[in-house]
Amino acid sequence: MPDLSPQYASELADDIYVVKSDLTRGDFKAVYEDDMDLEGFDAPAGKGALKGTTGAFVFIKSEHVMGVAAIGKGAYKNQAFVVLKGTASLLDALTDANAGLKRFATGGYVHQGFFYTFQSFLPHLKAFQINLGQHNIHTIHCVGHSLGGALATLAADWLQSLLTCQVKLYTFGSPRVGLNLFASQATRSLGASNIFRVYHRTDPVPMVPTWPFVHVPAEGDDYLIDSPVRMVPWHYHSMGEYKKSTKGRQWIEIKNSRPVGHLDQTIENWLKSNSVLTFTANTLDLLNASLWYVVKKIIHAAGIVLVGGFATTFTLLDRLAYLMSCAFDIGKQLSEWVVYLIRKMAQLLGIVIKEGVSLTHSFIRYVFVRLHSEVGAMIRQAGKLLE
Amino acid sequence: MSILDAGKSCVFSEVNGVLLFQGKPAAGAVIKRQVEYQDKEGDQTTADDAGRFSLPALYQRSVVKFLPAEFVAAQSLVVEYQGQEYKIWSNTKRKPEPNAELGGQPLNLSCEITGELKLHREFGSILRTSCTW
Repeated sequence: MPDLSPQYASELADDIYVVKSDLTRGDFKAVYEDDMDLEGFDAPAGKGALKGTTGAFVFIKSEHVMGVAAIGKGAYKNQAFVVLKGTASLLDALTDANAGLKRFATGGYVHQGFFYTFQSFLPHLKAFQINLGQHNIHTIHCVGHSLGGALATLAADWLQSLLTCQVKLYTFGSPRVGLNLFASQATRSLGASNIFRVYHRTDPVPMVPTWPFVHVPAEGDDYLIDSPVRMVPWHYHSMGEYKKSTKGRQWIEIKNSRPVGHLDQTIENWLKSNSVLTFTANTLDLLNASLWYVVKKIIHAAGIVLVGGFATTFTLLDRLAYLMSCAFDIGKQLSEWVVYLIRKMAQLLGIVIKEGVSLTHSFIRYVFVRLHSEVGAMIRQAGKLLE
Repeated sequence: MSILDAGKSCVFSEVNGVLLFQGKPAAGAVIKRQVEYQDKEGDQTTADDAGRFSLPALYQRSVVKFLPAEFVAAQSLVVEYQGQEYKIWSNTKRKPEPNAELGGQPLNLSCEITGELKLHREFGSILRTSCTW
């Protein structure tokens, strides 16, 4: 069953933004009408989905167009598309450490912000799903950027639970959608090889919400793309950058050029150094690698079994959160590396550690809360710069 | 745009153009501009005897100040000439910088209003226009 190419999927995830305004909705049709049945698509949006047994279904949340579902044609015959766009309105909730949870239809808990948005266009998605029966569909491609990626994840999981055809998921810079049960269930149901989660190393959005939220796929590979640090931390979240990173490339190429992790020696040198720290995604990344290095040492000593994905998909905040949840007394396991690490974090946050202060659970929790709010501020600041 | 305008985004860059109807200047044609970013707004101007017109750059301040989002400003230019309407420009501006529509070059347009809308993908958006530059 065919995959969308990285370039096609990223263009689709970008172009869906033009459906926002009825001034330009026809432009989407002009580009995709050879690949999708978009009959009636650019007609003025009424209330609810556009009616009809053929043609496009437009997802509308009150007055706001969320995306499009359409039957494929031409080169995409017997395929279907569900494309969702991002929206700014949910991002604030992502940086809220006390986000509410809702049980999703397929089992497992998901972020309530995504849940309610998904529910708002579910009637239209249902109408589309029922209509699929007449078209002998073998593959449905669900595509989205940012929060659109989170919504595409829910849509893909929901569709796969009802249909026997293959649903494939393509997301760019998606936040985490739900907890481990949801992620592992969705991964099992879609199959890890049908999930194309693309993200830049310095994109802050995939870092939130922090653990216990985890990404789909829960295991297997994602498509991490290296990206430099920019003055605007938000820069590498933009769909324009994802288009550049995927242009003309194949999935296997992206996978093979995955950036390598930080080497232990680099981490040790960085931890020991007194270099000035600024709060950037790159520093976070290095801190993250360092924390992992230190945690590995502690955990090795304590003989603790880690939850799945800890080594590969957890970020700094996840590891801190997880560390806090561990019942054992970290203080007893302190090595010189923990001291170095805490010193770095404190330096980053402008906290002065007095000689002889004990680096206890509550201190690490304090560092976590501070870092969490710094990441939130970074995301908000980035948004402010974009406006 | 000065640093003092940092909170504002260019939703439609300055346009200078010539309107032609079947190769001749479309004198007196009315150009209606619409843009939708945070708000929908519009203005219009009239072409002179040589078919020339200009429209100033439009800026909007965002209501959503503290949230990150893709920059998406929908644009449209429609010409009314001799009782007929012709769409000559349909685009989504995806960067807040002036002249992002044409990848940084100024919008000095020459438009045959009866021409077909041609699709341009080279500026990182979907631009359909009968104008050339």
